[in-house]
Amino acid sequence: MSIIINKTKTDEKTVFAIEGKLDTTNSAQLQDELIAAFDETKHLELDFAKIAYVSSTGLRVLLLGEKTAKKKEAEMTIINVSSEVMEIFDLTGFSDILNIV
Amino acid sequence: MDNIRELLIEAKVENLETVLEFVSQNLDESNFQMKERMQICVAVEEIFVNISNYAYNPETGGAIIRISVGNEVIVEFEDGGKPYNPLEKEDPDITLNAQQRDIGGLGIYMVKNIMDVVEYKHENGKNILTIRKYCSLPQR
Repeated sequence: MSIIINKTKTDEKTVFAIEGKLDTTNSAQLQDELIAAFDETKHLELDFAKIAYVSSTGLRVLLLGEKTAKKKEAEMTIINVSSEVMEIFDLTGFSDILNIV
Repeated sequence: MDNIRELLIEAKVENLETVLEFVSQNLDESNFQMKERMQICVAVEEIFVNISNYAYNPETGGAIIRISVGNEVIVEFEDGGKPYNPLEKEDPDITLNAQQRDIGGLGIYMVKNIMDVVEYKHENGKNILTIRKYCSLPQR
């Protein structure tokens, strides 16, 4: 199992379109990519259109991404969040922490 | 529990996929909606990963996962590791901002919120954690 990250880079932002499950097995891969991204961009956009599933490990990685963004005075936004995933964000308070557009 | 199916498996994170497949297969025969199935899988993942990481640490050991699907789904996790009641863990403060938020305690908090009932008992040297969720639609 793995996730696919399709990366698009423009002058104003980097977009990660992610496909798969953000579960215990896959989240580490995203974590490294997220942290590295902020070395090169001030705005990282995560496209969640093809994310079906987020576990607590996935949430931890997103929290780390958000913290890294703040530390580097950058911005991390998440777009196309499904209602299933949004419910997980809501019940864990992550909908207030993350920048969901 | 009626109509129980049982999976005996070594408690290690590498086996998560097998566990989730076992649970999904059983849910395929039910009327649970996609959203509910995803939530049940999230809960199962949190618990199995917890057992894998902590129950026998630094050794490994076995886990038994029992599932029964009807008007509700019941999943029971049994391990012979250190006695541990995850329900005693304090809930995280979900009102804090990103800077203040800690990464611990989220998993079991999610399980408690996703499932309708979560129960723990320690019996004959075994940890037994049972989770239940009622189906929003009548069964076929």
